[in-house]
Amino acid sequence: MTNLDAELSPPEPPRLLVFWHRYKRNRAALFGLAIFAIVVLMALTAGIVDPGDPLRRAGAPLTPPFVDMATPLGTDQLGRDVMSGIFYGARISLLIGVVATLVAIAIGVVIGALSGYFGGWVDDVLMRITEAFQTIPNFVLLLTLVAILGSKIEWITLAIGIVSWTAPARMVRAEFMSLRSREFVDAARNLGVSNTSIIFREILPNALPPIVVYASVIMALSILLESALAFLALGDPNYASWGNMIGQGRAVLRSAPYCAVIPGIAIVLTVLSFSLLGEGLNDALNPRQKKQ
Amino acid sequence: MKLPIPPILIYALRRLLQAVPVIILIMVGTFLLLKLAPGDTVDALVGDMGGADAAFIERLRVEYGLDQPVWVQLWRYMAKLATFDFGWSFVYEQPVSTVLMDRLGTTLLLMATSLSIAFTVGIALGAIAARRVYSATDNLISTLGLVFYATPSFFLSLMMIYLFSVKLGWLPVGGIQTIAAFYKGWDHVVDVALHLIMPTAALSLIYLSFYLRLMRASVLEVGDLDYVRTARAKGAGEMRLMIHHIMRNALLPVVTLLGLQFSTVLGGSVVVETIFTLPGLGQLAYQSVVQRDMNTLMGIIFLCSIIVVVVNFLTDLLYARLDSRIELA
Repeated sequence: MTNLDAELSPPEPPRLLVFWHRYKRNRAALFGLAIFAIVVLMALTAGIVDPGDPLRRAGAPLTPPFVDMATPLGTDQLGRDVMSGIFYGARISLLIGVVATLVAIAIGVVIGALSGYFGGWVDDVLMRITEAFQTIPNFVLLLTLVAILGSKIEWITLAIGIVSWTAPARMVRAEFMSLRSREFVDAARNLGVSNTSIIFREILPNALPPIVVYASVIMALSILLESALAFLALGDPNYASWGNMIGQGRAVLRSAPYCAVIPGIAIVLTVLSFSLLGEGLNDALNPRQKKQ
Repeated sequence: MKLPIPPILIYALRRLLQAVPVIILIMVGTFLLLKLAPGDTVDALVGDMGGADAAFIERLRVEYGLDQPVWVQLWRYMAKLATFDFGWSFVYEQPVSTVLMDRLGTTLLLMATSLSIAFTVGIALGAIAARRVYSATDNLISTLGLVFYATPSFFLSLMMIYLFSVKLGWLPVGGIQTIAAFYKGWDHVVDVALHLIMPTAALSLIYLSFYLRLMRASVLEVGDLDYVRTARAKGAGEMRLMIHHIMRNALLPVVTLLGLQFSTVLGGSVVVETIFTLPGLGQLAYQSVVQRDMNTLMGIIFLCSIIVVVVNFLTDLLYARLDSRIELA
């Protein structure tokens, strides 16, 4: 068997590199990655690049953009710096997006895994609960949770996670149902591996890739949910938020539309970058799936 | 002897039965939320009266059954919900069900217009994009879809208000009709339609993008199937191919999504109705949160859930009609 060596000899390039090559074939995905990097950079450098407190007066109220260099994107009706709000808002949007996504995926993974792995009555009960959550309009439930828990940023994040776990739960369940009767699971079970261990160490790693791709969708939706709450003035008043800036900009829409337009563009670009990122990841992770 | 029940009826009945546990769970859920919320009915009542002495409060608690064990309270609550009795709204000084019924029509109208536009325009654009795949038309439509998807409805609403109401003065800023105009007949219809243009657009564009993307993918997939090639080989024209052969199968996933997303659209009406001051359930939900009117809020949750269940039931029937492979019995 000499040709075995021949087949093995070219060293496989590192997986990350292969992944990157596949990813960068999609130009839109690269564009998404670029915007995403900018938003992350803004979130990290808020306070360094633009030192103003976003909630404090920085100049004369309603200074238009590109007039005063101290406030390059202008000020709102209370004289707060719009650019500073954009930077700090990026931080809050990303923070809420990431944490709410983690909460949603954690709940979804547990419910979906139990339901898909055990099947039977466990599946029935958990799926009815999932359906109940899908039936209640999620934004109404979110409003209710915020009304009950209060408008602190921790509670808002948790509430967003609580209203967005159903889709990942269904995905995890489907993956588990198709994986639970495969040989490697049978083998593990015959070796006496516990159910917990099979679920989390054997099946879950195999079920994760589609969930990771879907995380970009949940993150985009979380950011939209948070900005909608903040727009309705139900967000945490102690933090600058894009949604809240648009909500406040509504009062001066007639005279100073830039107060609403600038944070609005920030939201659109951020959410857009997540969708492009998600599509790029999907193409890179499933290269066989109908290549265009 | 077997009764000759049409299979579609059995299918419908089974679907309805499946919805029962979900509705019961939602009843339990709203009860839990009410219990979690600070203050109970008696607190609201006493607050409304401006205070009362302890003995009277105690008597009220007994009267409202709040001294009973939680299980008894839950059972009574569910029995009341089942008859659409949502309790008393201390903000509107009316039974909650009356308040809700006043608002239901507006929301249903908004839902109907938004979803029909999102659905028809979405599938039309999706089909066009798929037939000219990778052309300039396709790129334009797909890019528009991505941008609509990323634009929050409240931002879109404000931009439309700025353009069409502030700058151009074409459309009214809010409300469902011109107050004090007392239009009758067709004038009234036109008036309401003018008021609904912007809310409908704001609510439908994001869902339009969903349907568009799904329809494009779906038409691309179906268009490759053998039976479509056969139809093309026997000389069917592009138009007939699309409408007669591809559309029916390509629509299936879109109809599924329509059913799945209805509750999200209903949730989205909160923001849109609040911005355009449309007197519907969404605006009521927002006001109830601000005013801490828990009974009304729970009523909205329950009523919306019922609407969602009904709509899902209807889309299931539509699905069964479209896809004759589905086992009805």
